[in-house]
Amino acid sequence: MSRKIIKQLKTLQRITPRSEWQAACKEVLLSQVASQGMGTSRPGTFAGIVVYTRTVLSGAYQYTLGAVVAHPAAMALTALTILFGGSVATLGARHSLPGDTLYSVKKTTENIQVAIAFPDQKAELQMQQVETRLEELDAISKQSISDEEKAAKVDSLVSDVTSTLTSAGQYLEDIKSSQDSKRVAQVANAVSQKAVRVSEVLSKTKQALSKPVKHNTAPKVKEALAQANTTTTKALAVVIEKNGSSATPEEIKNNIQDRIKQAEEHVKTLDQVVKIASSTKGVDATQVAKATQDSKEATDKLNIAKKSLEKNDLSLALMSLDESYKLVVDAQESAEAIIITTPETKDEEIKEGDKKEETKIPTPEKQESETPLADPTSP
Amino acid sequence: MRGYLNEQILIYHIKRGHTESFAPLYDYYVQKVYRFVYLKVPSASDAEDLTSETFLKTWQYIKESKGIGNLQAVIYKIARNVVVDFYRKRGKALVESLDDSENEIVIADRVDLTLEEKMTLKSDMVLVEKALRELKDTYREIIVLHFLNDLSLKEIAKVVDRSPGAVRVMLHRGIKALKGKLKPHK
Repeated sequence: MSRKIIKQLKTLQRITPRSEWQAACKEVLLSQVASQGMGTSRPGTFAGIVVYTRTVLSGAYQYTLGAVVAHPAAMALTALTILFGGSVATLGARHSLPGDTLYSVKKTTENIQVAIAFPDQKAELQMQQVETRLEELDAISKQSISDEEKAAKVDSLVSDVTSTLTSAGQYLEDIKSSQDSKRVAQVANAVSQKAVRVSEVLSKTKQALSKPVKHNTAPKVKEALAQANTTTTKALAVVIEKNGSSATPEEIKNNIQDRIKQAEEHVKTLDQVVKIASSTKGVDATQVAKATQDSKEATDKLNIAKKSLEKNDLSLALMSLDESYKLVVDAQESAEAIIITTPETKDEEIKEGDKKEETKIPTPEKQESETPLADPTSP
Repeated sequence: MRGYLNEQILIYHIKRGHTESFAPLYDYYVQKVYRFVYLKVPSASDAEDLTSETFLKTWQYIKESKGIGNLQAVIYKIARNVVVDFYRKRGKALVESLDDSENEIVIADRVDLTLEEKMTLKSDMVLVEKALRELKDTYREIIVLHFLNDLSLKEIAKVVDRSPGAVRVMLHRGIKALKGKLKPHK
């Protein structure tokens, strides 16, 4: 073997992680796993502190006592973790954003928290992470960086939202067969409420993005919104199944009622846009017909959902609502295709039609910012 | 390499709930794991994320397994799986962005080198890194483990689940391929 090549290869031994990351990652790993490693009580709870103190003071675990005495920093770190659920690095990383030095520490902390949590805590923790991603998304959308960089960061964050929502749904599925129906319903209720909020916030954040960023991130945002809807439906189904515990039937009914109203608003706006677009010259008639058909079927499903709700058949109501949502998404895709493929004069024609109809219909650009057309899951 | 016995003692203590015993293991392996992962992924930040995930999974593995015969092989195997999952989740498209400034290997703060030496070193590193990244994953992996992380052929065999003889052949072929990649740059 060539000595020269080997010598060249050896130069790559200089590849090392940043020292600040190396130290922060170690601190986070050790502090987070320490809160679980000491006993069977939940981390961050009073019981956890009691178990830990007893373990250390009883002398039953000689090594632990020796280690803690020998490493006062480790003791302080562990105590801090148990008391406040975080260490210096964790606190420093808490407000970091994608691209910041401590961001990977923040993600590591989150991953560890989920990994060491009890099964019934995982879904809620995942929803907390989704909320954190949305806060980051909001901060990134306000940053003065290039559109390209912003689109890359938004894309990555939104993908993260989708995958975390999926995981939350899976964790909910994992605990569904648990004996503690009350707790399961409580978790499902919390997940459904937060998932609805995800749609709301994601839609608002999307509106704040510039046109190129919005365009480049549209597929991922759409995916995230669809996943938020799936997670909401899944969680509500669990709430209904485990009914009689945390959420009252009336609360569930109101929740479904609200979602039906939202869906009706989407269909209404969609119908108006399709109606005006169809009167425009050069419009693709096939797309119009498809959008009209999907919209009609969505309305039918919503009517079934409403009737089922009146009869207190919550499961059927939820199922019809979900089917209606999918149809609205299809109709929306057809409507978007009409807007894209129609000649440029269409914007003006829509505005003209808008006046004639005496209905405030936004231009295609405004539709995204003023109406929830693009986001059937948003309120 | 830490002594086998030392590692087994640390594993024993971790399993007993003494999480601080994980610190020496982290200290010993973090740079090696980072380097191993870094040369498989597109960016330094991805390498950091995946390295931390590797250690978290290692900790979980130690806690849950009954016994670990070869911790080094376990850690590298976990790192390999973490990278596979990374590409499965995000798609192969990300492999392209190798020229990002964030990936530059920092040697500017090396006080023991003259400016000329730094330039030569950086140039060598960039060339060989680029060539290494262009190699087949199996060749690159074995070269990194052997020449950069100083694992013996026998130790590599345990990581990649091949015989030491097969590893030797792959290492030979890998170096030959690397030579070929480096030639056009001269």
